[in-house]
Amino acid sequence: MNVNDDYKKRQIIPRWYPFNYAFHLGEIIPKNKPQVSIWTPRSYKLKEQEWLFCKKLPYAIDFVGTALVANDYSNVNAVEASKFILRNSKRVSVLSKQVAEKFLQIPDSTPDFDLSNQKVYRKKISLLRKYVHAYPQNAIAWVDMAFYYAVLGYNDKANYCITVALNLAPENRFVLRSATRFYLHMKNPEKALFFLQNAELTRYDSWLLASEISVSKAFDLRTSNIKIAKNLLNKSNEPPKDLGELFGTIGTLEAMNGKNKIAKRLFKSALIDPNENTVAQAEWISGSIGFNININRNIEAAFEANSRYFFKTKEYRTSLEATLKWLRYQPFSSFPVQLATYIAGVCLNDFQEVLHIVKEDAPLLLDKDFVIKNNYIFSLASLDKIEEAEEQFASINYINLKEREKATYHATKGLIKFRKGQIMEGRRLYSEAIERFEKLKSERGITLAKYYLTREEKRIGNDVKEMIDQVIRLAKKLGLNELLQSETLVEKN
Amino acid sequence: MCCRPASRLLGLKLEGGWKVVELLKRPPAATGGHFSVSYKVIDQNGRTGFLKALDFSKAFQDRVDTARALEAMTKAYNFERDILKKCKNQRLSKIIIPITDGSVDIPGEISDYKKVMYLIFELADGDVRKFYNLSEKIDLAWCLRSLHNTAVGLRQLHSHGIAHQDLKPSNILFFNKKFEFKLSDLGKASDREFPCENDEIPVPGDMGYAPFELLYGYTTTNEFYKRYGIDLYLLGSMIFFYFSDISATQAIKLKLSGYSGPSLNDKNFINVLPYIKKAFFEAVKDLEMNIQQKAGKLTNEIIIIVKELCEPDPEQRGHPSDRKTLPFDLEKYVSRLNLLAKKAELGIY
Repeated sequence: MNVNDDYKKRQIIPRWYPFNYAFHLGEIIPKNKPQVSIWTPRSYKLKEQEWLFCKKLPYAIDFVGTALVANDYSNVNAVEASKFILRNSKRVSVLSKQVAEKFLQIPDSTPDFDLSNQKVYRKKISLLRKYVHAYPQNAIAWVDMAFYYAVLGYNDKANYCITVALNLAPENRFVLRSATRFYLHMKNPEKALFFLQNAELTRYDSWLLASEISVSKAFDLRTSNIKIAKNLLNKSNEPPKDLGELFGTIGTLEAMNGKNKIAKRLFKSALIDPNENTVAQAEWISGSIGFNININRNIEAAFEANSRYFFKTKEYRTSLEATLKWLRYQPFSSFPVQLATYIAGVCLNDFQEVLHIVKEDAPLLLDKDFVIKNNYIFSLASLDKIEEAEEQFASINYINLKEREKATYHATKGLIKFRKGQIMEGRRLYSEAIERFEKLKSERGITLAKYYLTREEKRIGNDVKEMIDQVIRLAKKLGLNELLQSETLVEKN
Repeated sequence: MCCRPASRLLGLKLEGGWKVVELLKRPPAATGGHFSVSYKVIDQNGRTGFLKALDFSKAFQDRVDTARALEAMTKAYNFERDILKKCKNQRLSKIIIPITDGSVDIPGEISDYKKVMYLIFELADGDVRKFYNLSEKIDLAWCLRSLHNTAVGLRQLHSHGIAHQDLKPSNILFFNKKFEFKLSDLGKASDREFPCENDEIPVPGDMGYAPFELLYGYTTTNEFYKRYGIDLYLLGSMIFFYFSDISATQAIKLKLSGYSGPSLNDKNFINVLPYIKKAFFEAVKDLEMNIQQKAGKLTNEIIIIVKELCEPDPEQRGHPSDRKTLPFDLEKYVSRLNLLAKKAELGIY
């Protein structure tokens, strides 16, 4: 049972979601009150007078429509005209009615941030295909289609859609950030950076600068934008919402360079009006770097931040709930699934829940992500569903695994052997796993392997006192509180 | 108001046998321009006309730089008069052209500005808003013929180097007897041969109808022919108006999902263009549903025309085969709209 070690590297990598989410979360434009812009005051005045002179629907509609274009929401006559349109809504077109509703700022519905319903994906794709067929220049529809293809695992199709979108709109924030996240999903950070670095917009758009620097740092690639970013932060008059990610990105850099005082100041600015990604970064950095920041977690869709926070405060059930929301919000991302299965399995000892999570929320990731597969097999074995566990285990392609994954592979194989009654073979495999973790200097891996070896030894009635002491020592050193409160170690007393 | 010379023409006899018979009461600013008063006139043969009397009195009000104001007013008047003269000389049949122009002294007026200049136009039965109630009760043939006549009018202007730039329902006049539509109000036009103040204005026409590239200050008008692109957009916007009661600009703004919209400070039209295109597509989708109910089999062709004419990206606007050779050419739209109008007139839809 494990989770990918992101402790050393979390950066503010841009999120990817459908356009309506991005819009709702304020990543497309600031949510400030719009500025009134009346370009043609005479004709505007004329429309107002025409409406006052002759209170009929055509005049009301034209006046309100123009007031909407001008963002003149406080115009009392336009408000009156909008109400007049709505009172007569049966006689007007749908669009006219919508104009009146919009002018009166009857709010758009809030998305539920739950993208877990996989049946919807295909319907969405079908609809978006019709959209791009009807109007191929709609770059946003291409990106949304790529999103749903990526979630379903059709990466080639997603790649095609992203390529079209980038050709149509190579200088658009939403397109570039979505493409960046897609290429990272495809494990191609160089390509992600290529488009970001070639866009002129990246030189002055704080969101893109943050993405470019974060991706470069996360993958140890070169960036020449840090100075530009710092200058922009010093001089910019942009709203705090627009600067949050960039403040957080530079703050992370400073923290990594040991400049905690500067980092703290930058994060203070980042958290004036942050998005959930910045809050999650602050939550992560406050845990891993070790300084305290006042974080308002009452931010829309702050599922990752909540997951991390409740994990830190040992409220594992609440943390799991937040993690499940996070994985439904970022369904193509494997890390929240890894974490959810880890919390359910290791922290809550609820292996049935692990199986449920994988089957319900991430069936498509099961064969694509080794950690998820391993946690799934581990849970099956822990529930003594050996046959099924072996069947799944056989589908792992050992040659393609990374060294760390190979070590985990041996540990899980050891568990299966234990559960099959092949104790000696089980011990041998666990020892091999521990040796491999030692070679990789993964103290976390060593601790987890020893912990589960202890669990199995205890299960067959062996004396595990010394082993428990050792695991407690290691867990305390690494701050693995989830192990310290587990039955395996607590029952010792 | 009654003291202004331009407001005191009622009952006067003018050159050419015209007599001012009725003051056309309209909202204070609704005179097609900001410094004119409208009358109905009749000549000896019983022919009626529309008189537009120029009111320069505002230039003499307190706290107004009289010299500058007069200069601006006369410049605007002369420009409109010259451009109308050009239309008249070229016999542009789908443009409202003056029958005559002149000046008249107001009896009893002793001030320096007792002379009132005027233009007399043929009197239409009204602008299209008077005859068009709402999209609910649309007469398809009437709308399509109006669009066809409008396209012809714009093509006539373009072929003589004039861009209208302020096409909207109130500037399309209807002549019931002849079942004909003509374009009026060239006060916001630009003429290739005669540079004028309108050339310098970021949004020359009505902002409620203006294409987004103008609202964003995206300078597409450096080359004169690109102004024709504005007219194409405005022509497409009339389809929006007939089938949904609002302009293309209003419909797109509506679909910009709460987006605060452009302001004069925004210079990033290209960056936000994908959002505008998305909104445009959604607006067209809703429009298509409205058209479907009224136009049946003609819907598809009408929608194709809307998409080409109202394309938010000015570089992509117009007929695809014309974009490189004859950008913003209207010839194909005249034919297509004529065919659609004929089909509607014959009930083939």
